[in-house]
Amino acid sequence: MNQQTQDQQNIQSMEQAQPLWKMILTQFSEHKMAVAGVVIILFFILMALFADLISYASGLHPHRQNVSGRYLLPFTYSEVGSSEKETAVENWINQNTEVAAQLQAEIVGKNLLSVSEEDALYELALMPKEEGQEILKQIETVPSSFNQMLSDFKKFHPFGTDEVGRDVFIRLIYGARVSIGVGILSTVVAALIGLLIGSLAGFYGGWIDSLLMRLTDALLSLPLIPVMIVIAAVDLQKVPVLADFVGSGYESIIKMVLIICLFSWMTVARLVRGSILSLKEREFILAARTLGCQDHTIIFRHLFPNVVGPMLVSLTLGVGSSIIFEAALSFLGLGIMPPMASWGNMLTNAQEVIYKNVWLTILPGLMILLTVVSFNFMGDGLQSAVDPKSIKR
Amino acid sequence: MATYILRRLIQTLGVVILLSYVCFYLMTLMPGDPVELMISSNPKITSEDVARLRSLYGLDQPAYKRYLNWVSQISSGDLGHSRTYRVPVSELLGPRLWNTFYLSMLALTFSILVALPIGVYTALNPGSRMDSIVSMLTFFGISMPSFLLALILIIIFAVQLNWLPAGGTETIGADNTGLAGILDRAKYLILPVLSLSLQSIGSFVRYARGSMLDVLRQDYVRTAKAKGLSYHVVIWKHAFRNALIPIITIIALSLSSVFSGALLTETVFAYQGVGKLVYDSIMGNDFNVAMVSFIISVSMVLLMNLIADILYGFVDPRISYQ
Amino acid sequence: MENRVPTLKVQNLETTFFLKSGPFRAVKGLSYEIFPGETLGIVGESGCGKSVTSLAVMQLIDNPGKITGGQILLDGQDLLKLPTAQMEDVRGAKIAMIFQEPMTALNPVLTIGQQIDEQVLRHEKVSNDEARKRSIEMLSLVGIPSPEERYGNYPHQLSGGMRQRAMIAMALSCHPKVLIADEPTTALDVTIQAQILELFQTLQKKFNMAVQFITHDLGVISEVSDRVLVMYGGQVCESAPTQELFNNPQHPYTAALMNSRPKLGQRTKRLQTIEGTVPAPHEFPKGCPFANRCPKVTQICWDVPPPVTQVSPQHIVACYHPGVQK
Repeated sequence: MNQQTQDQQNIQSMEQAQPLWKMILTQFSEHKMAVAGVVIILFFILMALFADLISYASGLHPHRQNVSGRYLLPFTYSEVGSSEKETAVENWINQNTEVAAQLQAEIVGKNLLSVSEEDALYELALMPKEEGQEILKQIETVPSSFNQMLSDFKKFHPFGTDEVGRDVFIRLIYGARVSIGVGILSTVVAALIGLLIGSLAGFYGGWIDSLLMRLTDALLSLPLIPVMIVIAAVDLQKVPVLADFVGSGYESIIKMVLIICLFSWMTVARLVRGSILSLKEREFILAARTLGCQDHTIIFRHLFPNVVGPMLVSLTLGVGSSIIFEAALSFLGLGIMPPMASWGNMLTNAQEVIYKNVWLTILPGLMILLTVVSFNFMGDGLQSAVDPKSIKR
Repeated sequence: MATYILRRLIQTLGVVILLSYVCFYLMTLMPGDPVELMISSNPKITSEDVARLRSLYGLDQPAYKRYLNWVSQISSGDLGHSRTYRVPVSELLGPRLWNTFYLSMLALTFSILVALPIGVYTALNPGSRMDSIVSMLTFFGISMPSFLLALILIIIFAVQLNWLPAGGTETIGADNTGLAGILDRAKYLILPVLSLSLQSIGSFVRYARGSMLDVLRQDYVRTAKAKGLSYHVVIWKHAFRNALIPIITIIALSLSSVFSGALLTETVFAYQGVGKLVYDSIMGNDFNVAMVSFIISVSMVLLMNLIADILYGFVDPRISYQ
Repeated sequence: MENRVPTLKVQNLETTFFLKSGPFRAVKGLSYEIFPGETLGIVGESGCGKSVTSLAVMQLIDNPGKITGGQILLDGQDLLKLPTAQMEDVRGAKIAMIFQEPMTALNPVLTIGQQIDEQVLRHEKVSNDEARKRSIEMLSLVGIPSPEERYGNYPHQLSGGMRQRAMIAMALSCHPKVLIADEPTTALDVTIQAQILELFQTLQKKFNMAVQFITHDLGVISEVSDRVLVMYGGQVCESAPTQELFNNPQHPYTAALMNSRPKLGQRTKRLQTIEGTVPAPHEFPKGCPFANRCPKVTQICWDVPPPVTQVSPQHIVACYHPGVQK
């Protein structure tokens, strides 16, 4: 008997309705790869958001070039050449004449270096970093700008440096900002376009529908990369409206987002149109109509909640393909323009660079692959979570 | 059937004409028209000269008039001259088209041959160890941009192992004929074909598996088993033939993305195909070549799509082309 | 009557589905037999195991389901002991099956003719021409007009009733000894249903087949079957000759089924329903599967499965409290 009441309780708890988002979340968390994907994406996004902070903390700068530290392998140090060091010290002395004189006097006065006062700072800058630090320890107040300059002379590069001596690690982080940013932004804009076009076509039908769907089909059958290249090669200064954006520094980003979303809205449009067509036939829409609901009320109140799930899935998958498009165009030299870093344009010279340092190809490539895979896994997880057929008890 | 093909042909032609106009217009917006190039190479040029040159080249006319001029020139059979290669465009295009055709068809065939058996096998053993490994790999496959794989393949097989050439179409100056010529070409095709195939393999495996799983649940498969047919016949004659229908759609749809990928792989491998020609001519302001090669290659893709659509009818008797 | 040899004899059949949540026995020790020329009707609600039983006889249960016990004897030979290849020889030749959905049970990419030919060619040593002749003959036998033309048609070109006729033609093309019909008329219009049922009876007489007819429709059962087996929760509740079962139902479940269908001349009365629902796979009571819905339930029903008792020579029932209070 006891067993029986317990069974009853079990059944009752099972029958209690769970909120939909909770069911989706539970289902999603069962897909291990999708969860791993989310973790990786979040990690990259955090890195991108805190890029400035990371740059400040590590002392690495995404655009700083160093002719004497090109093609360095991962986990190596770079040292600025002696002539550059001398110019830097000279500049510093000119800018901080009094402090410099004080410092020079103190070094020679304490007999830490046996050179003339004028040469003391140059000597300090040119000697190995560790020895220099030893000397500086014995001085009461070292100006922070001098310390900063000294530490800039020698840098640790966890991922090595590229063909002009820029640090790869910090460029990858700034590249994440651009690549993931462009990917997400263009997908969201594309989804909005798709939503608009799909709902117009699905809801009004007739010639609007056939016109819009012809357009969708035509775009879907085009080979996108060549078409995108033609558009990407356009000089924005010659385009009437967009000319205003030129010179804002974000020209190539705007161009990239525009091009990608121009060719990525079709899936969402088809999805929305399909769901609207199937929903249009259902009774509850008819009921809303007979109650006198206006068209836009019906669209927003009744239809959108039904397409949110599949749209979320296609959005996630869309980010992956947008990132690939951005990478491909930037790789071809038509996307994000240097000096701004993106994972794609870090690969631009890859064919020549691989003979000097394979990491310059492998690392950005790995970032692209990891991010796209993560978005695809996440999309897959969402798909099985959102699909009511796959919900298990 | 005939009216269906005709209607589709007219539609395709419409898309091509519209696209060629858009492309023509976009090209006028690209930096470096012929006169601009002359100005930069000759600083002593006067503004009257510029105006004279502009009217000589017809650049002072509105875009649509120039487009119509271009169309009439094209339709008289004159495809124009290439500025960078110094040869007529028509001479340039033929071998390039063939090269791209070899590359994409080989890649497509290779992907189908690899993907379908894997897809069917995993569908027959869902949840097996092999199934989960394959599904992992397909995710990496569809997420790997073709140009990235191309670079990695070059690093491994050309730079590190030195087995295969890092780029090119055939050994220059070797002038091989017959079998030796084919083998020489093959050597240059292996890496491009591989890098172009991976993405389609990934998506084909996924679709083949899904479609096959779907079909295996159908009642007619049970009927076939109830008839006493052997496993082999049930799977291949009854299930696979039905599973093929949606797979063919996916393959047809993938034609355009294979060509997109071909452009990238050709560029990475310096393979002399039409995709690289499109890219090079746009980057090099070679206007005639860019227009013609772009329009021709896109039309080819659209035409292939059309052919695939028509072939579809032979696999699925339910389609009646009304 | 008793001396006849049954064509199909099922003994203590047990099938188990190995689900993620644990094994579930869909059929628990089911026994029945069908004689030549006889139709056994199997009735029950959806999920009672009647379809699993027929698939088990064909050995067509898909993963994660398995036959875990019992015997299936065809003319005295245990089919469960046959190797796969020999079982394939049996399927379609000695035992044939017709499914519920004529719309989906035929392969859409093969013509009707190809599908019938295939079965004939599989089991009999005949030439392609002979197979074709046999197929057309079968098509006309099941009442399909202009069979030569239909032979080259694809399933989608035929109406639902025609497809089911084609399906029957295919099933009978090798003159099987046993025919299993799994709700063959459920998906059809009522008028077509009647035609198909009539066709069944004619063909059964012609070929002297043993027919296992599965349905949830008591009206259909009363028309076609000689004996009826009522199933619930994977077990037999009651089995009796059709007339006797309808006149004198012993099991509360049978009685409830009878009461839940509309009868002529009872317009004022509300239709009776059976209280509750069929439990989910793992929630069946330990004893009698019907215990949670039975009006006569007592403690023993919950705890110990009821034994099968003989009411009259051909009438058996599994219940502690058989009989109907009127």
